[in-house]
Amino acid sequence: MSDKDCIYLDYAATTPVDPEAAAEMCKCLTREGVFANPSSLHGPGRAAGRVVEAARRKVAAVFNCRPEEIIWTSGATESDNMGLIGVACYNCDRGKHIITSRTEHKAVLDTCAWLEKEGFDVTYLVPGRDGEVTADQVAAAIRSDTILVSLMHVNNEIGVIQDIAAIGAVCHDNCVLFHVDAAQSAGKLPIDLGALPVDLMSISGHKFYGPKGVGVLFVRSEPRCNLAPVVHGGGQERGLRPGTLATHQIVGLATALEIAAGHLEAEAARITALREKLWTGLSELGGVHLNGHPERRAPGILNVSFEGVEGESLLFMLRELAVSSGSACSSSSGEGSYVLRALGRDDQMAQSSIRFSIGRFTTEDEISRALAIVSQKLGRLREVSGWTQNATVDGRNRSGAGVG
Amino acid sequence: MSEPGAPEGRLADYFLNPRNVGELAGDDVVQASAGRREIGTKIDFFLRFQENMIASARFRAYGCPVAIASASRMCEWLEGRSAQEAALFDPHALAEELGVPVEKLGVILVAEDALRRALNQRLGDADL
Repeated sequence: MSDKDCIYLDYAATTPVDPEAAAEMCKCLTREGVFANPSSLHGPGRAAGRVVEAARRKVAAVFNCRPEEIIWTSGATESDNMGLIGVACYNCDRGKHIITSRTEHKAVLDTCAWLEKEGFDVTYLVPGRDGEVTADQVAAAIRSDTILVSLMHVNNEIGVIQDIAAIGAVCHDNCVLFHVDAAQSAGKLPIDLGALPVDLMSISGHKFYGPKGVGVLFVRSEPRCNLAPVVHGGGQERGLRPGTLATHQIVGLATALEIAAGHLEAEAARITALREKLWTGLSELGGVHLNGHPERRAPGILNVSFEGVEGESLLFMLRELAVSSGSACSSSSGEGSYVLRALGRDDQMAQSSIRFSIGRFTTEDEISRALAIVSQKLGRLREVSGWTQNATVDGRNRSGAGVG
Repeated sequence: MSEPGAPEGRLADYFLNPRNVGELAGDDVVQASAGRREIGTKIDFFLRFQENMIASARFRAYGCPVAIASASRMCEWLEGRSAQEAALFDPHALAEELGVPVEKLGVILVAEDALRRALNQRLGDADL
């Protein structure tokens, strides 16, 4: 089987570049195109600069913010680092307490761990069993020295949507800045920064059919959110993110975002229907548990745990499907996804989870074929393990051990 | 090109087409298990003895591809051997035969534990 025969259900990991975005990118690469340094003052440079600024305006229009609030980065990981470290360093005289959650992306968690070593105090909120962090939890955790709350809009593993409007309101009521990692929601859910109480927001181009290697950090200008620069150099991007601007990447991101935003509602409805078809089919197999909130979830992400099979084996058995596993791929540790364990799932359920993520090019036929493959391969592995509904080979009854 | 960690060759064959899956019952059968599902590996062996020979060997395995492939290959290897011969099982030789990466050797050791517990029931500690 070639990789091209694989049914791609890993759109939350990355997406193929939209052909129109790819065509626009190509116009910025060669001698005949807009290749010059956008910061140069000569004609070709100013032409490239105009292209970059047009892209900035497109992105700002999608999110209903000001163009000058859009800072180009290499992706959401860099945006998260810039946002958290920048706010922490700028505001360290005011306080050294930061609030986040245990189910954040590693780009936030590892940055918080680094800040702890630098003397900051971080509170890691524990979400409910459905993956939600509530505004009340945030309010209870805020202290007089809290400077920043960082929470993701949509969780990358389980697809749960956080109520960033309510959480942001709590932050602003307490004069605390609010950073949102929107890598999984930008281009998929409506985000109106003109209305949302969000001070900083990170996105990645490749999650919404743009290229890899480019992202955005939104930094609110009114009221002004000040950051200390993390990278130092030529002064580009108001000194916050120096370095020669990658015109082709920026144009690709902006074009892809504009296209995604234009089809957002119709795509969300179509993808949600495919996700529900997939979940209905999987749940009929028995011993399959939904991870995350049953309703407050992004259209394209479905995370399920399977009783009676180990995650690494299931992933290899499902090699006709491009999906992601919660398995740590280390049977000696037996630890699965830290996100699922933070939700209170036991190790077995955490490491036997599969994330299916559906996107623009997923068809109903692909979902039907994926269901048939999962049914067959799951059955074979369960035969090997001796799993039967409600009981296992060692006699333990797993009835009621559901995770969703 | 295969992805890192993907089973290949004999390891893939025994994982994708496991032999000797199942359970045995009867007075001439010894059963033993090792590992726990909570840590990602649990292996059960069922050995039917005729005289001192292992006439049939079956297994159940919950675990990664190495766990399933190892238990399957071990069952094949065990059939037709005496309990004393079975006690000479060498996990390193199996790892080499199947092409098991060194970081997965611990999974084979779980299977070895299950086998030794089964043989212990038959032979007692002194003979192992």
